[in-house]
Amino acid sequence: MHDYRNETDWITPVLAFVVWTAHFALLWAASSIFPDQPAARWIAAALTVIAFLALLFLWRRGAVTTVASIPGLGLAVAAAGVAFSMIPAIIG
Amino acid sequence: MSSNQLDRTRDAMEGRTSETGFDHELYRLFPVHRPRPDGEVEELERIWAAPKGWGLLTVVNNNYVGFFYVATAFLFFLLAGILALGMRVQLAAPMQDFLPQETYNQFFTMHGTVMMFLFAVPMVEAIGVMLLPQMLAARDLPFPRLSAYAFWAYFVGGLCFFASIFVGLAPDGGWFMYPPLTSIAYSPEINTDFWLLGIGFIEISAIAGAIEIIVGVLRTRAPGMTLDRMPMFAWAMLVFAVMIVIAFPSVILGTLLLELERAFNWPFFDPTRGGDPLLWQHLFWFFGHPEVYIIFLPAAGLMSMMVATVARTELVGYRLNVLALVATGFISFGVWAHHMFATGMPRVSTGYFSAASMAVSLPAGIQVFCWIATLAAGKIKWSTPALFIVGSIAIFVMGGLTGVMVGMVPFDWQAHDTYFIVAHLHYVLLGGMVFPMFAAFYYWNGMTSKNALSERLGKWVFWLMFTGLHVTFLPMHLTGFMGMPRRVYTYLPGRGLEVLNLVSTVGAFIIAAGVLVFLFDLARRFRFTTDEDAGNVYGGGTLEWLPTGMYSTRSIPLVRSREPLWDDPDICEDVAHGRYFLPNSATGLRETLITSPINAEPQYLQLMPGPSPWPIGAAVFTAAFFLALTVQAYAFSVFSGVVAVGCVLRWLWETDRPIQQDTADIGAGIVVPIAITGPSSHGWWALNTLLVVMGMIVFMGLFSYLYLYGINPQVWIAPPALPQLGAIAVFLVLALALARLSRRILGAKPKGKFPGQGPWLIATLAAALLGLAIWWDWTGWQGAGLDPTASGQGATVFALLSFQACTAIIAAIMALYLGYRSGKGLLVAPSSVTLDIVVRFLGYAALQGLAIALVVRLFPGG
Repeated sequence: MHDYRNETDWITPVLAFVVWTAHFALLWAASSIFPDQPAARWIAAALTVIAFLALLFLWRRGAVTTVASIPGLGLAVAAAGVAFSMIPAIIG
Repeated sequence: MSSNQLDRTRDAMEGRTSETGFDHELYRLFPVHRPRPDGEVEELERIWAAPKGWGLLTVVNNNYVGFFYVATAFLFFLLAGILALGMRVQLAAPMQDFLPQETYNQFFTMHGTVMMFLFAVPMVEAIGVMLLPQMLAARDLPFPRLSAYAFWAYFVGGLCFFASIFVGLAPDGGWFMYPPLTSIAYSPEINTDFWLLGIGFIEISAIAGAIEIIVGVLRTRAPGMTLDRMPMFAWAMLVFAVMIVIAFPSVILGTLLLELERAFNWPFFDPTRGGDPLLWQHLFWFFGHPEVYIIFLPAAGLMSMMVATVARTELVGYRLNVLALVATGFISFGVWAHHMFATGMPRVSTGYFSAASMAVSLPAGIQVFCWIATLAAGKIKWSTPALFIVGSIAIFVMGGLTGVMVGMVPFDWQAHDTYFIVAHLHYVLLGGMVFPMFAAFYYWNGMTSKNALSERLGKWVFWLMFTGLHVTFLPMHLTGFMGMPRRVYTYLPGRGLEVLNLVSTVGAFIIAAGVLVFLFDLARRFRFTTDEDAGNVYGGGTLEWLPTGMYSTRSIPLVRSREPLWDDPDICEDVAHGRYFLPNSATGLRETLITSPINAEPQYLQLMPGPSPWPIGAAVFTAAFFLALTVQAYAFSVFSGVVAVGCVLRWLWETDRPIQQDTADIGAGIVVPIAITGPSSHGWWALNTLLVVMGMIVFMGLFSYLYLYGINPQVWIAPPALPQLGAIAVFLVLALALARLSRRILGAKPKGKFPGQGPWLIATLAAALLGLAIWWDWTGWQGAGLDPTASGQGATVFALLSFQACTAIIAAIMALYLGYRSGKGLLVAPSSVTLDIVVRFLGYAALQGLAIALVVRLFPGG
């Protein structure tokens, strides 16, 4: 018999992208409130650590075992996005 | 969503549980081979028949509304294209006087505005309205009258808006309408108001369509069509509609604020009084850049479906493609300020947007590689759609590469506002949307026309358009590098720009020739039909190619794979003989099957409304409301607004009809309830989506308030005394509690009993408390000395309070409407869809008022 139940966990990648979005928005807010000040960079660093912890939590909560899966890939793309967003705070 | 709910949803998503308790073993009963009674098809035809003659104005079937929608959007494409030709003639040689400067300004503004607002977004919504019900095997989208309203508002308002160019009153400030150019000081005529208010009804239309699509995709899929089996176009439309819900409120707010500034001198964008013109740019581009993906993603969904068919193989990387769609949707909200690199933002902020702008190319790249891999894995039949698909990929990649270039800040500073950007955006939009649209015209023409379009002429259309595009826009990269600015009506001779501009003009006419050949072929071959169509010319495998009539498919199939027509050779015959779900009308009325959002398990039968003049009435007067505001005919505007609301209430009157029958047999003896309330109902999903839209408007309003504080804190005054905030909060919490009480009283009564006047009176009391709270809030700020014309703080605070006041007025109208229905005996225990909606709207309005009061009084002014 065909399986009529959904096979893919779409919630985990969506939540991972929510983490990326929140991280991005807060980084931008900090850089606008403290323009060209060290505080913006420290806040960015702290937010990046929090974002990675959130992604790690999602990895464990979703019982993801490999990056070669939709939830795993979603988490990996979001993690890369978070890391990429942090770069301007380091070198900017 | 609570943690438990999330866990349950994830379990359902991963296939560990049934989503609704529906026993999947029942699916074994299908197809049912017992003969069906005679006359069922005839009854379906009678129930779903469309009116004839002038009655077609009242039609709500998606076949007709979708077709009208597509045709109108294409008309606007042609009109905006003619404006482009006018501009190219003007620029063919230096110092031409074909178009005077003022007219040229109107031409480029209308070209951009019409292409973005009246063509691109409506066209993809139109294709969605036309294709989705058949693709999902639903009888229709869940709110057919809303579709009709969205179309007519767009049609009437769009034509009136476009007509402004014939009287020299068209907007002339560019499609992004930056203040201070568009402020009253520099644009005192009503041209700008035409844009600001003209866009208003288009926004309403787009949001109405988005709500319809979200609920349609999530709740009306055929049984068995799990999320993993959804057609790519349905996925794309889901992401598209969610993006509209998040992005459009920003431009709605922006247009409201700029109109308030122009009409009442509220200084949101005036830096001398604590405003900031860059606030407009943030609000506009928070909508404007996702708008590009709003246009691109549905076209990408169409591409993914057509690629599989022309290559005669399954799409490579289906799940990857879906992930890319979702990722694009998210990341596109992190790139808006790359349009503002030249405004002098803080350096680190600029870096964030630059990084995100480059990151968004990754999911777009995933989709392109999936298409290329699919084409490589299959055996391509070089039909017209195939040519447009391959051409589209090439053009879109070229535009994407220049997009990465302008994502780099130093490069953007050089190319900003030059023809390089014009070239880039046209490569992206033509490759990402227009070429896929033409491919789709050829591919799905067989669904709506008696005759297929000509393959021979189709190839001419493609090669003319493909060649013309490069001849037009490739030289613009160079004219841009040579420093030719955008939006300037002429240029000086002797700067090396003459030949390149002449080539671009020739190219534009080559594109036009391609479009003309297409129109010729349409006139020759296209004959609209709903039941004698040319059919599945290219051999697609998805459900829209099942045999259909005005009622969509005779029976709603059980979906076992992504391309059911390829995998089950008997499915067409089984569906046409009524061997699947809902082979008849179970209630004698228009109805469709509502299924669960993840696994698409049958849940209940939705009764659907038929043809009605009220949606078109509401649409005409909505457009009249905005257009009368534009020409400052305030009395007529108020009249139109009242009539529009009256029409909406009248159309809703028939949609919540209690019927005697509680349950219905949907085939094979499976019985489901009829028309339920609460979180499982489609109305619950629709209202919540609308509340997200309203919430986003408030969120962006609060952002504007905090942003202006960050720019000019010195003009901020202290808020009213704290005890007043406490009293406002008490009123609002009380309103929330009363709203819940109203529903509880109805729910406590025995089934079928009239609950008395209590529920609606309590709901009306809740609405009155909302009014009292906003009155106190408003007068409190006035007492504190805040003036909306004096500062950015005053303007934003009173704008937010005005929005809350409008919400309270709508809540009061809804409560009184509930009272009228109650008086007519239509409010029956234990649940009522109308009461459910009114109560939840009241609750939301209370929470919205609380959020506004708390933020503006506690932070940062306190």
